[in-house]
Amino acid sequence: MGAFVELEEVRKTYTMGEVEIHAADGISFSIGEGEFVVIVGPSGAGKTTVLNILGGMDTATSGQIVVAGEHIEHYTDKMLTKYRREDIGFVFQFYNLVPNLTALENVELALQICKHPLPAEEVLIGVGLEHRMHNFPAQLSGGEQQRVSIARALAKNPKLLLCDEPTGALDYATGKQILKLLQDTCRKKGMTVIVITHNQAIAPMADRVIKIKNGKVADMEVNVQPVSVETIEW
Amino acid sequence: MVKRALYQDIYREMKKTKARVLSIFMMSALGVAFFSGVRAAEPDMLATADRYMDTYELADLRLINTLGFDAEAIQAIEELDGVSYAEGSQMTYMLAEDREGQQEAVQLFARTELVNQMEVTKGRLPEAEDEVLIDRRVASHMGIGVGDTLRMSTGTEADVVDTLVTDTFRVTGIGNSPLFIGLERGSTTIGNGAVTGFVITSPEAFVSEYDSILYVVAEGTEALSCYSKEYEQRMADLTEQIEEQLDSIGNARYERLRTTVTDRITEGEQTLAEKKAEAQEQLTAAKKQLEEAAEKLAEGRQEFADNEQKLEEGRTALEDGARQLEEAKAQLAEARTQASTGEMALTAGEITMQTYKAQIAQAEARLAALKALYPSRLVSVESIDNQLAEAETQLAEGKQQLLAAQAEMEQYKVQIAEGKARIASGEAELAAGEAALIQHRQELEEGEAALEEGRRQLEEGEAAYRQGLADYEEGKKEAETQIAEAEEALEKAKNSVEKIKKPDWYVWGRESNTGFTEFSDNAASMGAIGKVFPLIFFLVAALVSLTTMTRMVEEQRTQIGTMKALGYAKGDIILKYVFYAMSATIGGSLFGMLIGQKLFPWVIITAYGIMYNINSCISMPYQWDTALLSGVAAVGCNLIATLASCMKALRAMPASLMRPEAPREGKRVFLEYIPFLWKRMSFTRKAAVRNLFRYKKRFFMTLFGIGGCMALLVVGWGLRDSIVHIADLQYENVQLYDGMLVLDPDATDPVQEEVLHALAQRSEIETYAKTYMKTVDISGAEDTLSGYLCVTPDPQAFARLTVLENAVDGSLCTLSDSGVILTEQLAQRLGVKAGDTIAIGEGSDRSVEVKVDAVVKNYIIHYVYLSEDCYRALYGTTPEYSTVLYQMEADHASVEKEVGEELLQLEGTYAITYVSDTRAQVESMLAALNLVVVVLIVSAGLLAYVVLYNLNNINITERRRELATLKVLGFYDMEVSAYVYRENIVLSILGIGLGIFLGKVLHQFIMGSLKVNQVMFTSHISVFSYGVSALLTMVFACFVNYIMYYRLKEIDMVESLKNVD
Repeated sequence: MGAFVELEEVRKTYTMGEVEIHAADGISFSIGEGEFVVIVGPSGAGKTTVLNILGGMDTATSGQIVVAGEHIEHYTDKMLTKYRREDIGFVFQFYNLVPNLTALENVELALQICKHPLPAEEVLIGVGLEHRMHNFPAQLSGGEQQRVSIARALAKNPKLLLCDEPTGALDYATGKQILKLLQDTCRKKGMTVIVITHNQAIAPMADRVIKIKNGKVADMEVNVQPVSVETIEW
Repeated sequence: MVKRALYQDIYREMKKTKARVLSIFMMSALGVAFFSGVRAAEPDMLATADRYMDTYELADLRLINTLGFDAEAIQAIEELDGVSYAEGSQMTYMLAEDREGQQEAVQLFARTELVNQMEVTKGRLPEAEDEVLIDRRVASHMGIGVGDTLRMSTGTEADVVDTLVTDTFRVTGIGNSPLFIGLERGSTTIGNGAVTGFVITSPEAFVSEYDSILYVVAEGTEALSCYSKEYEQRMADLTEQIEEQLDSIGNARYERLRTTVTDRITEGEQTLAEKKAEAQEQLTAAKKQLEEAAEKLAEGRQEFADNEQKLEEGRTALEDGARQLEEAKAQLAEARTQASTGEMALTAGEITMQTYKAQIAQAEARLAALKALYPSRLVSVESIDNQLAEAETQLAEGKQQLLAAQAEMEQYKVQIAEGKARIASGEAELAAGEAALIQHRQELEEGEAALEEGRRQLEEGEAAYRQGLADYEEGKKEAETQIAEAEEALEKAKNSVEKIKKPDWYVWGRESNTGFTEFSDNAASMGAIGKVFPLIFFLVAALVSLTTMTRMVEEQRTQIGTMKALGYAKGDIILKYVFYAMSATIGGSLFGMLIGQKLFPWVIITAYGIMYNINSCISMPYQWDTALLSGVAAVGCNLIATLASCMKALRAMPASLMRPEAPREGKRVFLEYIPFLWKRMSFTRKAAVRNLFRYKKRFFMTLFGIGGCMALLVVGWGLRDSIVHIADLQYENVQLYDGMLVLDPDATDPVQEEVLHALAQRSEIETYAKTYMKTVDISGAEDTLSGYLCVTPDPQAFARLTVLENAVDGSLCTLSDSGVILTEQLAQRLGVKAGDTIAIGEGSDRSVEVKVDAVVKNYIIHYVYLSEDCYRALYGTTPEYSTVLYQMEADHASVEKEVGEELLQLEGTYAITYVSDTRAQVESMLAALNLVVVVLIVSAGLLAYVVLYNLNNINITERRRELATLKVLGFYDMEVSAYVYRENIVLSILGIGLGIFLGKVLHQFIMGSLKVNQVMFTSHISVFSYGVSALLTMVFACFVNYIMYYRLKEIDMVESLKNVD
């Protein structure tokens, strides 16, 4: 299986006065299409940098990033925006719903701007929110909000679903449910899902686990037999 | 313990958020500057005027006394308590004529020493008695300058030299007087009734020995503002006090005058008697001289006759002499003839004698021969004897004859001698006679010359005598006339002494000075604008800076929680925000105070300087009350807001502060309950609508901010409308005539008719009407104002030129025989309405009362319209229609000046005033207010910009996360901006709507309190003004949005990953 996502010697250097900080110091990995990938690492290891670069929110200082055969490292701002709106689904740690829009409308917000969206209602039903569609974020629990967030990402029918600590703000049970939803989405729809987390415990559920430390890939392993979320405890 | 870290934090915070600090600073500065600046305009205007009056020593009181003031009266008044100085002066009205013959009524003042100083703008004050300084208005009106001459005439029967020592004056300077700071110059009874301006002469130019006007400077008023209550009170007291004294001063003056006049009469009588006697004496002497001369003349004549006689005699004698001489000559000639005859006879006698002698000799010879023959010849002795005898006889005879001849010769000789002697004596006699004759002739000639001379002398003597006689007659007559006149004058004087009344006094304060009061009205107008306009401005500014502070505290709740958790006391935590807010607000307020209190009053006063010549004395003291009021209010607002939000934050437990604030609940908006509308709205619009209503505070804040600015813009443009519109309304809806032709008052009726005929003939002139216009004083219940009395004999034609539209119901009014029609503002200010009575006066006399029929719309200048019949009923005469109003054909309006010039060529035309000129003048006057309005508009625009910027800034800062999320979701920059703009645009539109409403209300309020004499403002705001205000607001909104676009672009998507803080 050819690599769907491929990072090659990606570096990101911030210059703070005279000090150079290497947030990403030559990261290379590749991911196959339809894989459920977990990128783990301690705080400040460079996971978010990877996510930002992969999500088109930031550009790498050097290196190659290929997503679905496209070299995005050469993209201009405008092309990156297009890349974000058409190819990437993003799930935030703090859900980032527009508080003023209902669940359905939050999903619709994303649909407005993409070419081949999925029907919002269907997606929301798919994430199990058929009864909460017309509620405002403030009326939803954290898990529900995160579901809306996932639905919003999925409805765009992206090529790649990026999740930044999706369970970070959730309690244990809810977190599990969300991970389950993400895993199911990957399995059922063949969506490539990348979850970034500092929680090592969820690594077994992934098809591929990439460990990042000090801006470098410390380890990458492929689980031949990924386990279901339900069996994982942390 | 020094909490260095805390201070460091405050310092860094401020450094980091320079934009916010600056925005709070600017908001406070703008609010305070505008509030205290515009509010300071009124007191500053008054202070400026006060300074002007003080600088140029405007008298506090002006006294007029029907008897005039003498030195004693002036001294008596000066000695009154509360009076620091009194100075008498002269004043009169004259018609001034320049070299081109333009004639204008002017008010002539004698130069004063210490009061009412001139502000000389060009040249110098008059010094000699034939020098004048003229009003700047006179200079510009007549187009004359320094070095030109003016000829004065009284405009009445009276002679200039009764009042002034000369009638021709040279202009030495141009200037302003504190007596006339505005454009108003008052009215007079001469000329066309309107005074063009003042003219200052030297005191010596006036003939009168008494001052006609007395200026009084009150004690200790320099320090007081002349518009203050205290000043008014003091003046009222002083006036009362002076008035109390006036009777006694007046009586003294009366007595003095009476005495003086009586003395003078007595003196006059005496002088008259003396003069009379003297004249008589002189006459008598003259007569005597004449008589003597006559006598001499007679003598001379006699002598002349004698001489003539003598001469005649002499001539006769001469002629006799000549004749005798002639006779003598003839005799002499005869004698000579005789003598020569005698001589001839003598000669002849001698010859005869010779002959005789010869004959004798012959005879003797023959005798001898015969006797000889005897012997010899005895031939015939007989014959010889005979012959001898015969010869003897003959000889004897011859001898006898010879003897006779000899005797005769002797006789002749005697005779000749006698004749010769006679001739000699005759010749001598003749020579003597001739010499005598020559002498006589010479004498005669001399006598004739002498006689001729004598005749000439005689003739001269006669002529001299006749002249002397005529002179005498004339002198006599003259003396008699003079005496009669003197007697008459004395009689009159005697009568007038009887007529001298106790004087009437008028005491006027500065409030009677139109410019003085008008300016305070204008200041009050500024005050009216200053009442609300800056308040709204200030409120908007305060509101926005307060919102900014509140937002800041809310944004930093986590930090506050952290501080609290660290154990910092509330005071320390609050300190940061209070310090932050206060340093920006206090700094801004101070800055605003310092700048605003100078800038705004300066602009406003300078603008008013177009109409009032006070610019040389601009005075802008800091008005600490308004400055402090606004400063404290600005600081207070922010302090309270900051404290309140800090306290709110501090009340919560640190832990809850550290947690993100629960997101505000989304709410359904009322629109959602109208599915018809809601369903039709696109998703993004729905989102925008919801967003709008989500943050109610921000919503109202923005609405009020934009609405307030829009209202200010509307008011600004509206003020401009109301002001600019006046000229349009006046000259397009009320006064429809294009020109005012003044007929030559000296022209005869036929000549004037000719002019009217010419007007009727001209195709360019649509219609015309004769009118009578005069400036009068109109008094009503509340006030006395000057305005035009306007009478027409032809109401139909007049109605086509001046629209008399009832101010109440809009119906057209007609002139009645029993009442007058007043213009609206005049009626308002006089406090009268239809049915009330007003008094119309000229100067202080000839006041008549009349009923008001109706009040009509009019915007500029006050008019009282009345019919000819009504005028006749009031004044008993028919007015002299000296003005013709005319209207050009619409197509020919462009050639009005050409037509006018041709009209002026006609005999009997005097001057033409073009309404277009007047209109331009009015518009330039109103430009002063216009400039003020520009200040308001610019300020409002500036505020609008700052408000919009700030509110947008807050909006974006508040929603950084949301916007970052949108970016992550793949929204293009434009889409993100549109998401925000949509709300802004809706808010701007709503704000504009609110602003229109607010602005209209505000404008109406301001217009209601605007008072400018002779100008009536309307509370009309044009669609254009609303449009342009809305457009400006939108432009500002768009501009701010444009700037915000870059702010939005800068939002880092990484924000979306961060925790909510």
